[in-house]
Amino acid sequence: MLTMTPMFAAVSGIDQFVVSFMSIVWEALPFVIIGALISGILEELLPQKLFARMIPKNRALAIAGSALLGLIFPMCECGIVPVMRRLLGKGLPLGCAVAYMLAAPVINPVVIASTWAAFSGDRSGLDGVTSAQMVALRCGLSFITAFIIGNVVNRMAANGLSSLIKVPVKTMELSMVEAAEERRPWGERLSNIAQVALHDFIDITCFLILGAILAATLQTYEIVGRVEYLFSNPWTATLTMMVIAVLLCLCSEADAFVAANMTKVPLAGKISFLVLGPMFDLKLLFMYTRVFKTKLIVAIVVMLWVIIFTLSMIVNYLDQSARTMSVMQ
Amino acid sequence: MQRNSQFMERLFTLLMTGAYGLAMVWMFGSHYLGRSLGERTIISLVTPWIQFTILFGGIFLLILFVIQLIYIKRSGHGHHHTHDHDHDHDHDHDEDHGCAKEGCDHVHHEGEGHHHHHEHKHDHAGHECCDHDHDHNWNPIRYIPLLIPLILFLMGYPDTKMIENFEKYRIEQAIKSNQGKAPVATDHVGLLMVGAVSFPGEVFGNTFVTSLSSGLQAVVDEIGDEARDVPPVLTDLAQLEKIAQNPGMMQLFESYPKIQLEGMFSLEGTEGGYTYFRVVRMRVACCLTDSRPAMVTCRTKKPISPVLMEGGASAGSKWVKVQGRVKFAPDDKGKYQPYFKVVSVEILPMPPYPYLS
Repeated sequence: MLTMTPMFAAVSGIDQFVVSFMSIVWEALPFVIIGALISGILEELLPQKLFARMIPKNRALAIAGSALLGLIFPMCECGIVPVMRRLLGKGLPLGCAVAYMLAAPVINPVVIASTWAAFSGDRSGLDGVTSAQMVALRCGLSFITAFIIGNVVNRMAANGLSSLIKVPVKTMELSMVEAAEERRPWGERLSNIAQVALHDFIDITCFLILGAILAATLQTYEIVGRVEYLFSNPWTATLTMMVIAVLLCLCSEADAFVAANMTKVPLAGKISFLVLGPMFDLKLLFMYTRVFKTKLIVAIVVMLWVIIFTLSMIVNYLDQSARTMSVMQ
Repeated sequence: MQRNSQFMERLFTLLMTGAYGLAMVWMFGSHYLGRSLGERTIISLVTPWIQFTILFGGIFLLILFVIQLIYIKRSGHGHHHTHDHDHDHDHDHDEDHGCAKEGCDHVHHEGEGHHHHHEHKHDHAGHECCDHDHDHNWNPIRYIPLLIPLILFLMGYPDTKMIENFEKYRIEQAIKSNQGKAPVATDHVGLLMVGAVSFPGEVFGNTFVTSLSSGLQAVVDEIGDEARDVPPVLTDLAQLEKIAQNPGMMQLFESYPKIQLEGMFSLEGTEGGYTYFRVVRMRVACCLTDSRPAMVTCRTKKPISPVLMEGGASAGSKWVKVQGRVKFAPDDKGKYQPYFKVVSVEILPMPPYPYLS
């Protein structure tokens, strides 16, 4: 009935791209700013030697605690690798450091708020989850994943750290540094907070924009729509979404908004995307190589894929049976 | 060279911060202060509460910008010291702490290090040492992505037309996918045929009369007119979608003599003295990328304003308030859809935030 001229199609493609791109960027930006600000404040005001003192003797407890550390020391995945390495250098056990690195980009107030926002509103026609359910699923699965991997890495570390990491562990000098740190006047602290915050803001925004370009392209050319046949089956949908998570390199503060907009993807696919994305993607791979040796990176990545895929399948099974139950009633 | 690139690094971070802060405050302010009705700006892309986070995010950025500016002014003359200190420092750094971070994305070697080297250089390790790259070259490429949203914003994109096109595309997709499922649809269904398929006559017919003669129809329309003085029951398309899932509510709403809702006018065509159209509203959870249209199919015998007719079949951005009776009927998938028998169509300016949650 209506034949679009190529010219019109191209113009409408540009409209599509600009609207998608700009709405993703400007919607996520306030959250990035809040994250950068919190990171700057904690960076400057929280004495990090507290961590060393507070590590519980029970290792499993320590790993579980580290996985939840993001709640009081939030970091998005762009900022966490440096922090984690610093904690490692201060003598935090490797298992704890890895658990913190994996879980904190998800289990923290900022990302919980943005996940809540992204999945708010009436989603009854989409995936039928509420914000609370999505936040609980995302945090719960991330915690389980980080806890398991933390424990395995802890076992691996029993044979010595030198084959796993590239960071020499020295505690004395750093605590001296901290003693000096605490003597700074508040004006200087304020400017340091601003520096760290702005630095984080510029860094993260850069990746956010690149991610938004990719995401807007996917939307405009409906690449997600083209692999739509993969989304009908939860197994292939989950694997596809995990690949997309690695390729998109989205910031953990923004990825929930992208996932919420992928209307055709089943719940299992969304949850695998939201759990894997902050733990492993292409830009994180580059960052990991600066801290971990190849052996440890391979171990972490393989475990991430296996654990997250398995957990997503369990979520899918529970989701399906809940739906069947509600239909029967 | 190094000093120069550090300076550039700091300058650009500062400029970017200021620019983003200004842009975010400006896009909020200009939308609510200097905007004509019906015009949509970049801030229309997100839901109201995120619009406020944009405002506050911008204010935070401006505060940080001012703090940095004061700091740079105060320590402005310390530049020539930096070079040597940095150099020494980085060697120590590498050997003592193994803080190698070449591949780190953070190429900045600005403020943090700079300042502390100047006053007490051991501080460096107290910060995120890894944020500092060993290659001190200023990397302007990283600022190019940062410029894209700013440039688009300064150019005024996305403007009203772009946002309207985006919505039109979404609405067309939704209508197309609905028509694809209609049982009678063929490849060459004309506009009026589509109208006939989409609005089964019996839905409208059975609402009021059983025998369809045009004379009776006129009487029926007049009966509708009698309800003109009845205060209308206000509803919206999101509510109608929910009502269509609840038989009791459907009965209740069908019993109301006059209900009223607002939305964009989308003309379908005319047939047998009736004008068929849709009232459409976008439902947005967070931002326009997750938008999906909610619509109701309407029929009226009343003459429609030529302003509305000239847009043709495409979903337009003309905002209307319609009043009439609603009738729910199942579509081919058994899902109940609202149909509207309209007694009045009134053109309104588009509200500041035209979307439903």
